[in-house]
Amino acid sequence: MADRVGTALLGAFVLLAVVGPVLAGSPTALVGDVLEPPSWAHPFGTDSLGRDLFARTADGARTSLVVSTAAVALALLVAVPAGLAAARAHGRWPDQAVMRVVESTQVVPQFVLVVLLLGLGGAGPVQVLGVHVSTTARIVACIALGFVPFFARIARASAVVELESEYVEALRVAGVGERELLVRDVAPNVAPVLGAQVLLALAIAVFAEGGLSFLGLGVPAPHPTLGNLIAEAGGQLLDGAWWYALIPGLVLVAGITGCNLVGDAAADRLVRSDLR
Amino acid sequence: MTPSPLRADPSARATIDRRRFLGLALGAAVSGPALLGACGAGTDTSARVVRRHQDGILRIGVAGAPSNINPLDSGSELTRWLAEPIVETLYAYDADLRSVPLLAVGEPEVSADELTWTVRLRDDVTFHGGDPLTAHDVVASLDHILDLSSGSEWITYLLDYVQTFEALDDRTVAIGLVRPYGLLRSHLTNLPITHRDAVDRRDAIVGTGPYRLERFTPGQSFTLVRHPEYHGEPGAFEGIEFTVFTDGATRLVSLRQGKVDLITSVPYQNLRAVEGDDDLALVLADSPLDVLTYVNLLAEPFSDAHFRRAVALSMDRAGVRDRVFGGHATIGQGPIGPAERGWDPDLAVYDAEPDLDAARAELEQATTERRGFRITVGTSQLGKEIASVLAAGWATVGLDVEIEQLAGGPWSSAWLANEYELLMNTFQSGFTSGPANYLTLAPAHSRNLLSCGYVDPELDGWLDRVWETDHDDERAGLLRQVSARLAEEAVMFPPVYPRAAFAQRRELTPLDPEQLRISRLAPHELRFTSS
Amino acid sequence: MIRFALHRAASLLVTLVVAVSGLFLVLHASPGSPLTNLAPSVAADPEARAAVARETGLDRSMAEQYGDFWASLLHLDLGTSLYDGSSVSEAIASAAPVSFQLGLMAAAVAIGPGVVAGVVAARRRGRPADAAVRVLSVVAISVPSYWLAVLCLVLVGERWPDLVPAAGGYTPFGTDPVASVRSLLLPAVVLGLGGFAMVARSLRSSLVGVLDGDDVHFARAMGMPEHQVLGRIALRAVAPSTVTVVGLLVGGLVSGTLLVESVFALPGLGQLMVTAFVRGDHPLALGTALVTAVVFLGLNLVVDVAGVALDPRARRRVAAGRT
Repeated sequence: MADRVGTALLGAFVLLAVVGPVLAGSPTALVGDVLEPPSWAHPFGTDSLGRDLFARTADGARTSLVVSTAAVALALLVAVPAGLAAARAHGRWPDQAVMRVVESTQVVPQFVLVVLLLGLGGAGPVQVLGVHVSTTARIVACIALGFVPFFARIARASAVVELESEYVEALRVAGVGERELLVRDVAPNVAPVLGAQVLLALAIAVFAEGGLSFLGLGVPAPHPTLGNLIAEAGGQLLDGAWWYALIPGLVLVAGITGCNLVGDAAADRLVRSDLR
Repeated sequence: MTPSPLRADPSARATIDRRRFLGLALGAAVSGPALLGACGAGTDTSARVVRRHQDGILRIGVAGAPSNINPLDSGSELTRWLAEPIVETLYAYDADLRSVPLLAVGEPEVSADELTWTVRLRDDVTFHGGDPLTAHDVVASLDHILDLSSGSEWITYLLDYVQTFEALDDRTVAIGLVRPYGLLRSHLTNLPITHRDAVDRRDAIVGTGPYRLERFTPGQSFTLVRHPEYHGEPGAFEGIEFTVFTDGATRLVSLRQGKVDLITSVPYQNLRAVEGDDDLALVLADSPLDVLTYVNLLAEPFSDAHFRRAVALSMDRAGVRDRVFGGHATIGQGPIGPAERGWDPDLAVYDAEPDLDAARAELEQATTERRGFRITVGTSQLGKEIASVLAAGWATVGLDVEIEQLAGGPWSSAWLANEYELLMNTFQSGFTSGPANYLTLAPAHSRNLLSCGYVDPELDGWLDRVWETDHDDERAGLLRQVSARLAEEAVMFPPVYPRAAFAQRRELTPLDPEQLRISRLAPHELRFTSS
Repeated sequence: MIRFALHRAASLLVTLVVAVSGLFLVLHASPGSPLTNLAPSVAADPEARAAVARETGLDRSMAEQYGDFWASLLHLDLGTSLYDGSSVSEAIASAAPVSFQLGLMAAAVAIGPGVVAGVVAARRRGRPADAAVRVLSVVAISVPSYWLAVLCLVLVGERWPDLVPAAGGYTPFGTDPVASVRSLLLPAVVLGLGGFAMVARSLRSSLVGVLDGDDVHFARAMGMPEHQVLGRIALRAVAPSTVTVVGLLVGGLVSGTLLVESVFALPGLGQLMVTAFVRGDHPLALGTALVTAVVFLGLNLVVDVAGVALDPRARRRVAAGRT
């Protein structure tokens, strides 16, 4: 039941993010009067500058989806090899080194770290070693960095369990190389464990992207994100523009709830299949 | 998941008790806030405010905290609104914005060659610590400004003109100039005088005003208390408290709830909410609040005059006025606005609505291939909104505009390094220049460090004369010419001149719109109406 | 046990030094600094820039500045703000109580109702109460605090102004405890909501396992009263996993204060830290980050040690030297 609700919410969110921008007009054009309530022409109403909020919410959902998916993917790309390498060297110095680096990024909570790193450069593009890095890329990188310790720990822990298991021992005895073991036997078994966590991480990434936009450290104007739509909407509540704060907020909640429910269900299934 | 043959009666009773307990707890959780709230909701806000006013403290909500509280360093409104009741100037603006003596006695004596100004000080003025005001304090204040390591904004005004200054005796200061400098009178009317021991401090302000800075939490709140030995009429409030609310809605909610008496920088979207509230008064004033708009003539595409004019002609000025400022702005032409010296109400180079045909015609003649540019704004909500409306308008003539938002430091760096195409920000002047904004015009001068690349010897001559002359009428005439030229050449063309927005509670006497023309809030001049 | 705690503390200290050094490097490589925040007309003059750099000490080599930072830190001196010259320690001392009180109240909001909801759901598994707790906790964990805070501030604040923080943001607990708690109530509820959900969910799922276990069946069969079954056996058995959740909760609370303080304009540590980083006020930025890290790591240490102390299996593992 929860599973189905979750799939429905997540599906609706993804649908809005993928199809919405195609159906809606431009999210930046001034198409209506300021603060029009929802109508047939503008199903989500208009914002304080007279832009269509359906187009903006859909575009914002897309940005949230792209940024958070990219961040989680990037984090996996870094964290899984690091975690596996650490597991292989279990207890020896490469393991220690990886885990120490991981720990040192965890001296402050993940979101605080992301805020601090983004806050440093100001809300704008930067040059890193002569390469132009757009604000959006920086946001993706910073959120990803926040997830690396999380995934690296999970990958390492479950790989260590696998490497110590009997079947791996048997393969070792049979003469299978350590590297091949890791890639062909251990990694596929670590994947489902990580998979369940990926959706939960996505929920956090969507939240974080919104929070950064809210603090003014997010994707720059005029492109909307759910976070800065919500931040801008706060003041409009005073004028009775309820739709402005409510609809983008509900879309964000739907996305996060969907990820959480589906992620939960996946984790449950994993536990159950383990017990069997 | 075993059903409960084992579950005996005692546990069932325990469950009922627990359920009742939970019900109570839930009830308390729900009604607790309501009960607490009832204390507030039962009485009306106005009565609460009157009760709060018994402590005699005026509370002001501001939009940001100054990064430097030393008024000798910063002319920003954030610093100076706070410093207004604390520090005073040698001369001050009267009700008609004429410069009259305050800490000085009489007019300055100017030598025949116009190179020496001598100012006499009053002898009945004491600082907050009890020390009398002397010529040495004035000299220390000037010393601080001219010391490069202070990073004072004032240095730009004085560096090339003021050569010497000395205390002739305890009550007389002589200022020696390199060349005639009529604008010095304006500076003496705006430059605060600080106690000689406090000039270099960044964590204290010691002045001669009716209030002294008692304590502050950096970035958050500032508490002023009445100075009992003030030389003029004592302040009406026991104290003045400034609180920073960076979020506009939060600021406004605090005012509506009566937690503050006055707020600055009301978000323009919320003006209707203020007007609809009988307890509040909205104050909209012409003020030297400029939308700085610079284009970089040193590089494509703005080095091309046709491209520049196309951009200026297709600028959606009416859109910015109506959508961003709720109609409370004047359509922009050149860099000088309605509250500023040199304002020309008849200057009409551009229409309120974009002239798309004329813009297309200019674009056809443009030699640059570029059909887009980057607009660099600050991180404020206002900057973002102006840029968004403008970009949407320029898109209709096929100009593809990318918006870049930069925080204060990186924004200035982009300006200094000429790494901008169109640079924009809102800027409240008035505290260093009174009813004018000379610094805004500086980048139009070809020899200025921040020059935007515009070279016009005639205009350079006008600007030099603006600083030199001591006739305000001549200065105003020159400024009108400067503003018209810069508009026509599409070098500086702000979209609008916004009116500054303040909101206050009715339990407070109204702000003076004349003083707001020079950005002065003058909070110490206000009174509670209830007492 | 004590050796385990000391060993953990020492390893955290090393981590802290590494992290603060990293932060120092990043901070110095970042574009923001008092130099870039000078008035443009001043910053445009190279002579003036150099003079200001000399005055603020920013012209020294990074190694020198790094050395100075640790030297003064050893004397417990966090330096002064590059902007207003005020003492970093004093700024932190005035901001920290706000964040601590907010965090404590939010933890109370999270743990109290969270434990109650978790127990109720586990006891009434599959019944409406359980479903209600599950729905409530999923919603609570998914609603972003910053959105809820904005809605609360305007909707609740308009009707019950006493419930939102007053001008100045905060009434110290010592001055007026009632006003102080009241003004932080709403932010604490917003902040604690996610934690409430985590505690309720985790407690429910681990209690469900224990309540089905042999220990509990045996105890019930022996006629032990239900509240004792719950208190003596079940809750004790799930304590270690709940403590782990509390560890996660600490992280959530520290992150959440950044956002919640920002919406409610509370003069806390989070606000101070963000401002310092954005402005490039190096001493204040390092000081606030250091204090946040020490508090965060300290709480984690307590949670780790408590987890071991409460879990017999882990205790045995520690005794066997496998930390």
